[in-house]
Amino acid sequence: MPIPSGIAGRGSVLSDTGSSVHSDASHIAIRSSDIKRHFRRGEYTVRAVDGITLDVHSGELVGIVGTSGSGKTTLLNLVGGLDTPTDGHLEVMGQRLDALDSRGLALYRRSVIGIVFQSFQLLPAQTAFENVALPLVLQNVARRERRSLVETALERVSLIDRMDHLPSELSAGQQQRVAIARALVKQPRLLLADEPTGNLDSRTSVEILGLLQRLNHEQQLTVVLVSHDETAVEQIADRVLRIEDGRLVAGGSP
Amino acid sequence: MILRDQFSYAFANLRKTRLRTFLTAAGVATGIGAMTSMVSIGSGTQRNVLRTLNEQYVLTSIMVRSVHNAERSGDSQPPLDTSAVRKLRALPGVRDAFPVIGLPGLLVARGERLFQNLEGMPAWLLDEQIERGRVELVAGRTYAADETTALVVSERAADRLLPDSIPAEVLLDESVTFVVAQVPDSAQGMEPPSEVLVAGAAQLGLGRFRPTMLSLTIVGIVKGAGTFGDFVGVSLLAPIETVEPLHSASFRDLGALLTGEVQGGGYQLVQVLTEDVMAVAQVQDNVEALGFRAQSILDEIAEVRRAFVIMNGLLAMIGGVSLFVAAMMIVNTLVMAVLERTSEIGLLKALGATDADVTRLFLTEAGVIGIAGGVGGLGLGYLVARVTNAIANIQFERVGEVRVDLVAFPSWLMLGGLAFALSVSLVAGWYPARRAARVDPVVALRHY
Repeated sequence: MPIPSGIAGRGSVLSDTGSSVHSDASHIAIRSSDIKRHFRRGEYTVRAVDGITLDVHSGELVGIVGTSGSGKTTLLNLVGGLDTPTDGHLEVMGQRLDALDSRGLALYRRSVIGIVFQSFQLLPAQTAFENVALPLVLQNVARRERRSLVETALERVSLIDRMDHLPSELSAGQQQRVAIARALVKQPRLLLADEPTGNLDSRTSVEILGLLQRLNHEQQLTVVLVSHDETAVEQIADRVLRIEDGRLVAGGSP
Repeated sequence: MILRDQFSYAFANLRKTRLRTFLTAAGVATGIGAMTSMVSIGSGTQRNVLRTLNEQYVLTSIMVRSVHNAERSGDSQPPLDTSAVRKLRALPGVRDAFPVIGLPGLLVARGERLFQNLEGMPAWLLDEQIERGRVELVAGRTYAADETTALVVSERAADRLLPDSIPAEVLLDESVTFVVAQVPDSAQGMEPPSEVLVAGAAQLGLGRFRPTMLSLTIVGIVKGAGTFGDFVGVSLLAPIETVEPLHSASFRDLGALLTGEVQGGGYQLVQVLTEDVMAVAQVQDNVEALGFRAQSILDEIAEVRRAFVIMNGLLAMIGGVSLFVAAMMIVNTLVMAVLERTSEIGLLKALGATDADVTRLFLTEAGVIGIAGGVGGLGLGYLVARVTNAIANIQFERVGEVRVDLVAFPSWLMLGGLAFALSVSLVAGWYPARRAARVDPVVALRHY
């Protein structure tokens, strides 16, 4: 998928697999050490993530690619604190996620990360403004401050003029931009995007990927992007991690 | 999440399913309405019956005797004196307590000498008895507590003082003397008797005692006087404050006068009036705990009390069944909401909502339904109670009975109804709320 000039990628960096050596721990956004996520399905054990070790530096835009069922979304869920590893050590922005309880994980999700989903996950009865404001509501941000933050986030995704629209009144691309604004509004240190272009046409996909890249560039925001579209990811990501059968087969080291 | 956001979120969600929310709230309203209307009619009936019973002093009276006086069994019992009366008056549920004092003596008026009993009666009690029609004020007025020279005489005593043709009213404002026989040392400060009276007392065999004279003015004439009506033969009434100081050195009755037995420091009998019939049992227990013997006709009215408890219980139960059904509707509504909104719950959790946040959101929705149902239910209950009252009164009139207000809608019923609606909805909402809180965000976002 071609990326328009001006937002074109810095080129993909495919690195060696295996355990990584970290030169500067203070700039490490994500550090995992042999993390596993296994599921019991009757007599079988599904090894969705099976011993992944990696480092992601602050300000990096890292793409995770792999076939369907390879474990990339499970890895993203672990990093996002939506799921907990069966085994291993996982540290994000200095927080040991494998040691947090349910409440600790919720507070982590509330304050540290922003997530963008494939299916946008906008509340249909709420306007774009209200959808974007939702994380701030959970953070008990005062209403006046909330308005200014939401407007800034919507401006960043060029949707300030559509803030009173319901999701059903917006195009798919606009809906995903609202979802990105929602992820950005609380000024997260890490943005996780799970197949953000999965429900979009190719032109809109380019637009959304370009937006993610711009955010990464302009704000030095660490972005982890999961996608099955390897070509598109390679064009914008600093580094591409390839996962197969729950294992990292490429890109583990920066 | 701050409370205001919690409520706007809840309202927004309830608005999305307006019909379902309305029907659920209507269910709660029906339950609360049924319960409050039943309790309202029950309370109204109870109020009417109690009002009738409370007007009967016999039912709200506890007659207190000191065990010492009553049984003459040992000296360790507390004396039934002024201090004891103060204690009795201070007991919860007690309206008033006062010694029952009847002083035998001579009423000297218009040249007549009548042997009469002077009873001390609290001014408020005499007024209330007249108000309730138990005592008829034939002429004049009643007295105030501080009118120490005021005297109210019975129509019967007045008749004895006057020839048939003269109306009793002529006795009003007339000064009379009441002579009480007392032991000599106790009448200090009282006006000395005239020689004529001393001689008169001597004629009656009272010579060895000191007659004490009370100069009184007749202010009123009544029919049916006395705490328990006319049957005790009381013919003269004065404020208890007038009679009480004479009590200790006086004689209980004619027999005591002849044997020289004075009443002494304690009272023979103290009457305790409770605030209502329902308080009698507790007050009686408290009086007995103070060491006195207390008698009431509680046993006879215990059945009435039991009947009220059973009646209110049954009525509330009928309403309670409706409310139970309403609670099930709330559970159903919210469980459906959890299922329909699993994806939304997953999103909230992905954005950082804790389990407690999600629980609170659903409980708020349940609470809003409960409050809306509660307010509606109170209105409905009032309406039903009023309609029932109107229909009942039409029937009463048809059979020649007087109209009565069967409905009581006191503030405790309204507040209680609302609190109950809220409590029931929160209890009903607890399971769906916890179920929502347990939603796994990964599963919710993947499958819904």
